[in-house]
Amino acid sequence: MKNVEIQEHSCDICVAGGGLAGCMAAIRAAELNDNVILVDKSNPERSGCAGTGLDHIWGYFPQVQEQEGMSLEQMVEDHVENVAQGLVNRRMLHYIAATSYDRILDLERFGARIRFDDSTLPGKLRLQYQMHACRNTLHFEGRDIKRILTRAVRKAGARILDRVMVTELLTENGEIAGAVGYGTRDGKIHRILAKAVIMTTGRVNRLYKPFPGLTFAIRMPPALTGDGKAAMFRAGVELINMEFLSVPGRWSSRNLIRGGGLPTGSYQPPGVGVNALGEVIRRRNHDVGSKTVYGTAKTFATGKSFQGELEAGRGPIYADMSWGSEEDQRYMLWAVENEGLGPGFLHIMERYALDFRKHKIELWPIEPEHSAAAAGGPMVDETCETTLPGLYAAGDEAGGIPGSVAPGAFTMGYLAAESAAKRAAGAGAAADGKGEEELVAFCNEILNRSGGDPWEDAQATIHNHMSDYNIHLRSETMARRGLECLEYLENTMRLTAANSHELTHCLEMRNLIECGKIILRSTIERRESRGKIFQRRDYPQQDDANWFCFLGQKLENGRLRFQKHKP
Amino acid sequence: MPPVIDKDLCNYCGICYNICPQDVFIFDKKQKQVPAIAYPQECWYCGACVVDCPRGAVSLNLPLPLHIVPSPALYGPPGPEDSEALKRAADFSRSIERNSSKDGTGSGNNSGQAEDGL
Repeated sequence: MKNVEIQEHSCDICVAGGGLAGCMAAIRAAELNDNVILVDKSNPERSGCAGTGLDHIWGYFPQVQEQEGMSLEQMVEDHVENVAQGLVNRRMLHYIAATSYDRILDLERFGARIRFDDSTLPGKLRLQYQMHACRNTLHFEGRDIKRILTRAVRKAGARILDRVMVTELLTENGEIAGAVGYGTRDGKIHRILAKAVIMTTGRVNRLYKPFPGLTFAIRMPPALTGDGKAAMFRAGVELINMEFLSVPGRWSSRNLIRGGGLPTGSYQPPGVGVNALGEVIRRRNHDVGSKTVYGTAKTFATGKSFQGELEAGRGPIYADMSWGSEEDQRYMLWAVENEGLGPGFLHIMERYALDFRKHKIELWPIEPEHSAAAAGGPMVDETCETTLPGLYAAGDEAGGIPGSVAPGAFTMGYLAAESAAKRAAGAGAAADGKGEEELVAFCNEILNRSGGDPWEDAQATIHNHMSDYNIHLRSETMARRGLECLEYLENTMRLTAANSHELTHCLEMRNLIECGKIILRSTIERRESRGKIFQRRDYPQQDDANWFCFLGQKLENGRLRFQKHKP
Repeated sequence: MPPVIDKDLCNYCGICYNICPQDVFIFDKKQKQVPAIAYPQECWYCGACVVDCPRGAVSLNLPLPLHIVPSPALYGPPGPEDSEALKRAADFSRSIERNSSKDGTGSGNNSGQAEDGL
C-alpha cells in the first residue's frame, strides 16, 4: 500500500497561482508582510496567460483621456454598458479603471519598458483603441513581463513554491486556514497553513473539444483547468456566472491557435480581415477612425461579419497583414513579439518560411471558452474577499467583472494583497485546518491501482460531454443529461498514473469534472437567454425582470444552494 | 517532436526544463545530457523555451494538424498614392493628433468580442 507523502508549510499569506494577478499579489503582500508564499503549478517566470508576453493593457490615462474628452466615470460607464452589458461588479470595475495606471507605473518600476521616443503623446506612451470608446490601451514591451514580475516577487521577499498545483483549501470554523497542493514533480501533497489565502489560478480551459483536434492546441494556457474554482466550490465558496460561455472563444489562425486579436490588436496597423473574394470585412484601425462607440453598431465597421461571410458561401476568412510601410510592419512585429504566444508564432513563421508580407493567415472560430466575457468565479466584495472569510480572489479567478483582463489581474491582485495583509496582521497563529482528506484518498487510490483508465480518456470524455450538451443545443434537458454523463464518468473512471506528471493530469480531470458540473447546474437554473454568452433553446428570450442578476451557486452543509445577487 | 534541441548547441543548463509551463521536458542537472522531450503531445507551442534558451538551441516543430497552409497575401508594400493612409497608420497610436474617421462610419476598433487577447 503506497501513501502519498505530505509536506507541511506555514505562512501568513499564501498566493495560489503565479500569473499576472498572483505575482502582483505576492509582491504587494511581501511588501506588507514578511511571511508570504507564492505557489505556482509550473514556474511563474513563464506561466499563465502572459507567460510568453503581454503587449497591451487598458487603463485610464488622465493626461490623454482628459484631453480627448473622456472622464474616468464615462470610461467606466462605457465598460458597464458595452463590454459587460450592465451585468458587472461596478464598484470593483471602478477600482480597476481608477488604479490600472498606478499598477502600470509599478511595472515600469519593476523594469518593463512603457515609453517610446516615436510617440508624441504625453508620457511618450503608445496607446491603442481596444474595447473602450477612447484610446486607452497601452502598447508596451511585455514579452518578458513574467520574468520581470518574478524577479520583483523574489526581491520583495516572497518565497516561491513552484511546480505545485493548488487543488484544495483548508478551513477551520468556517474561515480559511490554508491551501493544499500537489507537487507536479515531487509527487507530494503540500499542506500550506496560512492566515489568508489569495486565489489567482485563472480560467477553466480544456472543457470543450479543441478546434484543431489536439488537446493542448488551445488559445489560453492548457495548464489552467479551473483548479482554484473547483477547490473553492468544494470549500463552500459561492461562485457566480459559471453558466456563461463565449461561443466561439475567438477567431484565430487555423489551426495554430494564436491570440493577440488577429487581425486587430497586436496586428495593427497592417492587419485586415478579408473573405475568400478578397473583400475587406474588418478594416484597419486607423481607417475605422477614433470615434468609437463600442458594441452599439455592427460588429464590424463594414457591416459584415466573419460568420456571416462563411454562411453566405464566401469563406474562408483570412487575416492579411501584408500592407503598410516598413515602419508599420516593424511596429506590428514588435507588438506580436511582445504578446502572449507571439514569440512562438514568429519563430514558427520563420521556420516554415511564412511571411506576413507575402502570406495571409486563415482564420476560424475556435472552440468556446469560459472567457473574460463570461467572468465566472467567486463573488468578491470591495476588498476582493470571497464568501469564505480570509479567502480572496483576483484577476480571471474572480467572478463578475467581464473584460477586466490584465488590468483586473494587476489591480485586484494588489488590492487582495492589501486586504490579506490586513487580515494576517490582526490574526493569531494559523489554525490547523481540514480539507485535504478527499484529495489524499484520491491520490492514494491512483497510486495503488495497476491498470485502469489513462487521464487522456477522461479528458476526451469531458470534451465530448461539454461540447455536446453545453454549446449550441443548450436546454434544461440537455444539461441534465450532461450532468448524468459527467457523474457517470466521475463514478466509473478508474484513473491510473505512472508518475507525478500523470497524476497531476488525473487531478485536473477531477477539477474539470467539478467545474463542468457547476456549469451545467447553473445552466439549468438560469431560465433565460442572455446575449452572446448564454443562449438556451428552451428559453430563447432575455428575461431582465427575473434574471438581470449574478446567479450564485454554493455548497452549504453538503447541499446545493442557488442565490440571485443584484449587480 | 514539437521542441527540438540542437545537441551541438545545448550546454545542459536546464533553463527550458525549468521554465516550460507544460513540463514537457525531462532533465537531470547531474548528468551532462540534452533534456529529453518526454511529453511532446503536451506542448502548447508558446515558444518560452525558444525565447529563453541562452544558446538558441531550441526550435519548434509543428505536428501536421497545426501547419499553416500558405496562402498568398493581397497587398504587399503600398504605392505612393497611399502616403496619407501610411501617415495615419504610423500616427494612430503615437500621435497627439485626434484621429478621425475618413467617412464617419467608424463603429469601433474592437471586433465585437468583449475580450481581446487576455
